[in-house]
Amino acid sequence: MIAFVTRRLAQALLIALGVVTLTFILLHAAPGDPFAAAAESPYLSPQAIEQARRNYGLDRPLWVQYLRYVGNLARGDMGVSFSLHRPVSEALLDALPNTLLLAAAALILDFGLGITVGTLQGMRAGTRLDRTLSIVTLALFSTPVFWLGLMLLLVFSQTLGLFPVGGVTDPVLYPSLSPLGKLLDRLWHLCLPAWTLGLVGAAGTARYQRAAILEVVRQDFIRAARARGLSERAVAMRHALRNALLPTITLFGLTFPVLLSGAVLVETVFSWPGMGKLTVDAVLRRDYPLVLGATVLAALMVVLGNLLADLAYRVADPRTREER
Amino acid sequence: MNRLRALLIAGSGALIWIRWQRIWDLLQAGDFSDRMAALAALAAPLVFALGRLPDRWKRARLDASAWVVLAILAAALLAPVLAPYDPTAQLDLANRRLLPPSPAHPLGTDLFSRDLLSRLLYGARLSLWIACFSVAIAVVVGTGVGLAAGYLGGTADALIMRLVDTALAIPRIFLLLVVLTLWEQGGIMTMVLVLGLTSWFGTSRLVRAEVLSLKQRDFVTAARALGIAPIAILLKHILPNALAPVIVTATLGVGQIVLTEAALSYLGVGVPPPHPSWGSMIADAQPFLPTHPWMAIVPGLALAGTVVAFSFFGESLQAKLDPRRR
Repeated sequence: MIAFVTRRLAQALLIALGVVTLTFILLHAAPGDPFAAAAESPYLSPQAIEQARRNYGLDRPLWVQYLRYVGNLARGDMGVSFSLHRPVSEALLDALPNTLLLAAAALILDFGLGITVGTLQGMRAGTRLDRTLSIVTLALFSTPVFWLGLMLLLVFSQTLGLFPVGGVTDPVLYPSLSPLGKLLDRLWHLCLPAWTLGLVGAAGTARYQRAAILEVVRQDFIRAARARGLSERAVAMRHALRNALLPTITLFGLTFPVLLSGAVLVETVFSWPGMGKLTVDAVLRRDYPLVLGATVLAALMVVLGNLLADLAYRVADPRTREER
Repeated sequence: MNRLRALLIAGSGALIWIRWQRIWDLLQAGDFSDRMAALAALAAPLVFALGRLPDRWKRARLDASAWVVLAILAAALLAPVLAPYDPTAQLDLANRRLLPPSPAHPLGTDLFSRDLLSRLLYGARLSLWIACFSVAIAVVVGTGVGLAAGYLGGTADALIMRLVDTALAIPRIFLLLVVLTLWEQGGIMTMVLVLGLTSWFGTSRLVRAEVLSLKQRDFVTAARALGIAPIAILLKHILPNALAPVIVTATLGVGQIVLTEAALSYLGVGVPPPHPSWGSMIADAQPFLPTHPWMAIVPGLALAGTVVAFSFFGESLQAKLDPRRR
C-alpha cells in the first residue's frame, strides 16, 4: 500500500510539474514583448528599459526564468494581478471558498441524484421508465449549463419569485440577520447555482451508473440472490449497488474537472464571486497572471481529485490491492 | 420512403419558388458560401427526384437522429437562402428594436433591431462550420499522435502520453481561456485553431489504445511475417481498423465543440461580434430575460437540440460500427 501511495504521489507531482511547465511554455510562446510599447516611447532611454528588464529577470536565460517560475509557484507566489493590483494567490484564496462550496453542493446533488436514477434505470433496464429517463438524461447532459441556469432563473426566481437572482448573500439584509438566518440566507442563495451544476452532472452520473449496474446485474451472484428469494429492493441495495459503486469512484475523479469548468459558467450566470467568475473577468481584462494562476490552481485541484479517487478505489476494491 | 421523397421534392421546390429572387441575388453577388447555398437550394429537388441512396446506406437504415442531424446541417448550409434578413443588418434602430415574434420577424428582433431568425440560422452555419473544422483538426492531430505513440512505443510513447495526461488535467475551459487571453483574440479562424488544437488529447489516447491492441492481432503478425514495411502495416492494416471509434468520437465531438464554442461566446471571448453565434445571442438576451424570455429560450433550444441530435447520432453510429455492442 505504501509503495503504491508513494508511486501514485510521485506521478501526481510529475503531472503537476507538467501543468506548470505547459503554462510556462504557453506564456513564452505567446506573441508580444512586455517592453514592446516601452521601446517606442520617446521618454524612456534604452538603458532604463534594460534596467527594467533586469529587474524582472527577463535578461536571464530561459531555463533560469523557468526554474524561478517553478520555485515561485512552489512557494505559492503567482505574481501580481494587473487588474486587481494585489497578489494573484490572495485573490484566488478569497474566491476559492465560494467555488468549493458551490462545487461541494453540486457534487452531492450530482452523485445523490445520479446514482439513484442510474440504479433505478439499471435494475429496470428496457422498461418504459428506463427509456424515458435515458432520453431525459441525454437531453440534460447535452444542455448548455449556462442556458439551464438562465432557464432556472427565469422560472424559479423571475416568474415564481422563490429564489434570489444571484450573489452569495442578500446584500441588504445579511448583516442584520441572526447566525441561523445568515446560514439559511447562504443556503437559499446556493440553491439555484448548485442545482444548475448538479443537474447536468447528475445526468452524466446516471448514465454511467446505469451502465455499471447493467454490468453487475448480468453476473451469477445476482441471479443467486434472486434465486434465494430476496426482494428486488434487497438485491438492488445490498448486492448490485455495492458492486456497481466501484466504477463510480473513478467517475468522482473525472467529475472534478467538469464541475470546475461548469462552475466558470454558472458563477458568471449567477454572479457568484468564485474562482470561475474571477477568471472570466480576468480574461476580459487580459489579466494573464490571474488567468494563469487560476488555471494552475484548477489543474492542481483536478490532479488532487484524481489522486484521491485512485486511493479511494484502492481502499474500496480489494482486488486491485493484490497486483504488485 | 416514396412519400418522404415526394415531400422532400415538394418542399425544396417550394423553397425555390418562394425564394427565387434571393437565390438569384446570391448567385450574382454572394461570396463563395452564399453561392454554394444557392446552388444547393437549386439542386435539391433534382437530387431528391433523381438521386438514389447507395445500397449500403439503405441497409444501414438512417434512424431519426440521423435525419435530425441532416436537417440541421441542411438548415445551416441553406442559411443564406432561408434567412429573411442579413443577420448583422441593423434594420431600424428607432422603431424595430426588441420586437416580439410576428409574421415579419418570426422570432422577433434584438436590441440592435437585428432579425433573430436570421441570426439563429446564420448562427447554426457558423457554429457547425467552426465545430466541423475544429473536429477535423482534432481528429487529424489526435490520430497522428496516437498512431505515433502506439507505433513507436518505449520512451517516445511514455513522453507523449504523459504530455496528454498533463493536458487532460487542465480543465478544458481554463486551457481555452489561457490561450485566448495570451493570443490575440482574432477572428473566427483563431477560434477554429484554438478549439481544434485543444481537443485532440482524448482521440490520441483512444487511437493509441487501439493500435496497441491491434498490434497483437494475428493479421498484423501475418503482415509482418510477409515482410511488409512497418509503416505500411500501420497505415494500411492498423489505421483502417482503428477508425471506427475515431468516427464515433468525432461525431460526439461536433456536439461538444458546438457547446464549448457557445460557452466561450456566452462569456464574451468566443466568436467576435457582430457575427451571430448562439452563445452570444443568449448572452445578449440575458438582460431582457424577464420581458423577452423567448430571446434566450430559442437559441438555447437550438443549441441543446443540436447537441442532443449529435449525441444520439454518435450513439447509433457506435452501435452500427461496433457489432460487439449490439
